[in-house]
Amino acid sequence: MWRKNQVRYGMVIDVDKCTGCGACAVACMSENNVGVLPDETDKIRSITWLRVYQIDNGKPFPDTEVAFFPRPCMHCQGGTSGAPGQAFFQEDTDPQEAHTPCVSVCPAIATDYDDATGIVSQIPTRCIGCRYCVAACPYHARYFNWYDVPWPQGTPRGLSPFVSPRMRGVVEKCTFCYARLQRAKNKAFVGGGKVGEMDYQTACTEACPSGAITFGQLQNPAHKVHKLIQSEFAFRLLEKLGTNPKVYYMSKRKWVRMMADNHLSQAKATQAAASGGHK
Amino acid sequence: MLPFVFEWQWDIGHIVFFGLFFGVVSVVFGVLGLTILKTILDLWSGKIHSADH
Amino acid sequence: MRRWFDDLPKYADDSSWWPKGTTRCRPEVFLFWLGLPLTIMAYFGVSAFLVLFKGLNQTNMNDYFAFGVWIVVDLAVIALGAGAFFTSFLNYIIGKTELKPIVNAAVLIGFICYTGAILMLGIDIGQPIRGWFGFWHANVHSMLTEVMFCITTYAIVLCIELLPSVLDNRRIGKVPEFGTFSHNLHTIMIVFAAAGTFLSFFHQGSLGGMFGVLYARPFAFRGHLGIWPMTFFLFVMSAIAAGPSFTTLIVMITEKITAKRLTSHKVKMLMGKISGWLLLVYMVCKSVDTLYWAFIYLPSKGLSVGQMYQMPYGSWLVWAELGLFGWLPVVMLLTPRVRESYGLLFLAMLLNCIGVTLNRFIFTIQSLALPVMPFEKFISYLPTWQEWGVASLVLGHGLLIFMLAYRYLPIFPQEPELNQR
Repeated sequence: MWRKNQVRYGMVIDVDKCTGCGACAVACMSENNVGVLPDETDKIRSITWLRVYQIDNGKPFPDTEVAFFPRPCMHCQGGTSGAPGQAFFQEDTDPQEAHTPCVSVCPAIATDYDDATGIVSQIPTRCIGCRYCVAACPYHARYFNWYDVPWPQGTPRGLSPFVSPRMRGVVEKCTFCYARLQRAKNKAFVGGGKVGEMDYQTACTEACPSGAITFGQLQNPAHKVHKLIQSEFAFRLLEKLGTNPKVYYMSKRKWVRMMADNHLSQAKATQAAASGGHK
Repeated sequence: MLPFVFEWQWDIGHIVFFGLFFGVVSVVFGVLGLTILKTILDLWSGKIHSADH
Repeated sequence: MRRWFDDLPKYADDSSWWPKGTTRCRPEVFLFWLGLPLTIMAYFGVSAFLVLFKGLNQTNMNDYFAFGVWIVVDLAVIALGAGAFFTSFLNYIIGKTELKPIVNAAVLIGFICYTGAILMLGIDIGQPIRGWFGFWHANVHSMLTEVMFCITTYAIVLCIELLPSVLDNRRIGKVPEFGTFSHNLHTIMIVFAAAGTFLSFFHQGSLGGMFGVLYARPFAFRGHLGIWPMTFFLFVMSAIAAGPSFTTLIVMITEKITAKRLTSHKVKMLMGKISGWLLLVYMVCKSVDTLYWAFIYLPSKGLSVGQMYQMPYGSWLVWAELGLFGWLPVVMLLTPRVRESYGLLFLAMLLNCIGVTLNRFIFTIQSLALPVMPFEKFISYLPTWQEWGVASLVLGHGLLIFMLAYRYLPIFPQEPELNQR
């Protein structure tokens, strides 16, 4: 399934545990120096590397049910379809063939698929701001800096020193807190030993009060996520497109699983059910 | 863009893309250069074309 | 009868600069009308300054509409400017020298279109100073890289192709160096036409390829032939179908404004016939492609065609693009009676050009308006006045360059004989 000796970092989000509190989104913004814009009511330009979507089953009261999809960057891989019933796809044996939708279109290689970890990187100092990757991403996981963030006086002192802030005109997105991986690797190098499961966890995983988010190596049987993705209730967003994302969701509720993708038989029902609300 | 830039790889994608690109660029600028040269030679040898001639 | 301005000193008499055998309006009148493109350029200047100084928040683009009116205008003018390479290809390489009277105009229009597009793109990207990264750190697998390389190289080729027209100006051409250089360029023009054809084929196609490779956007994605999606070939075909039409349209508009005949009607009819046949081939391919996409590809992704069309980007767009601005101009342009009529030929070509513009609009704006995740909203978009200002660059600088070129350069070789009194 996975290429041997490669690490694939991924995430499992239990939708049934998510309360929509948004602590994950706040932790992400704090960890990654995401700025607050002059007009934050303009949600369509707001930068939220992790965005919590609210969905409902489209039924009227008293049968209405609500759920939340926290949506980080999916760190897609592309690849060929696996066998029917499989939750994930076969990886291509050639590392050059990782066909992440956003990576393959960037004209300046400002975003790249890291074959060693499976993480899609973003280099803000290389980005020319053409926004082709923003157009390519179906999950709207990529955000363009339409403004220079007006850091009020004194706030720069509160920024994390491990993540560089971005100026206007460049694209940014969730990096699975890559700076934390770098720090974990440094620590492991200095102290001897390897990066363990709990040595590298993303900010959102740590912040979630209900433990809905689990993060780790998808291919490693010793990590929690490896077992979780084999569950019959595990699914991914927009599987039919073939993006092969690394963020899995879990829900025992069928209507939630159906909301993750487009289904022809429910084309009209799906349109009605989408409340379209964002958090 | 050039073989000494660190992202260059001698793979089929780079060879085809840059092979064709530099091929066309050399043809265009090469012919332009030759035309300028020919013009200079024509002027020296007196084969002048102008609106008066 | 002496009028008040007849007593003014005749300080401006540029008739020695006009092409041989032609007449032009008084310089003062010309200067007055130059005010029009200069006003448009001023509007552009203010808008461009605001966008570059304050940032892209001056536009109505957002994280859903990553591309807006500028990309639509870019795509449209590059498609319409395809007349330059295709007419040169037919004239110099295929040998259809009946097109000689219009090839200079085609190259001039192409030059205007490409320089305008490049300048607009420089403002569109978030970090214009870093634009060269696309060249230096090129991703050879990206369609946009291909576009950047080919468009800039082709713009240089267009400058070289336009150079003889400039050097053939009546007074510039008298200088032996310039005259000789121009003569030598004319003899070797076939090489530049071939290079231009090669470059244009690839960038016209890659502009379509940009949308066709987006496999995560079912509206835009198409199946591939080799490494190229079907949109690659469809965009090339529509560009070469619309290019000759656009060139002829501009010539006809110039004829009406200047009250002169610039090319014989036979040349226009030939351009119409070429457009018509190319458009027919394109419409056949496009219709097949649309049917396949609508009834085979979309259902495989769990989507229906109805979901792809929501107001204001409703199903009327399909009928408009394929019908009124697609098959109708095909029928018109292939009917000799229509081509013989000045007015009907103009109309058919106009419909053709609008169709191509509509196609570019649909691929850019409608693709982005449509949500892919089932719980996302459909969004619509309208540009701000600053966006319209930057978009008006092509019109403003186009008018300016065309007016100057028409007045001073021998763009239309048939003009003297067609306007003899």
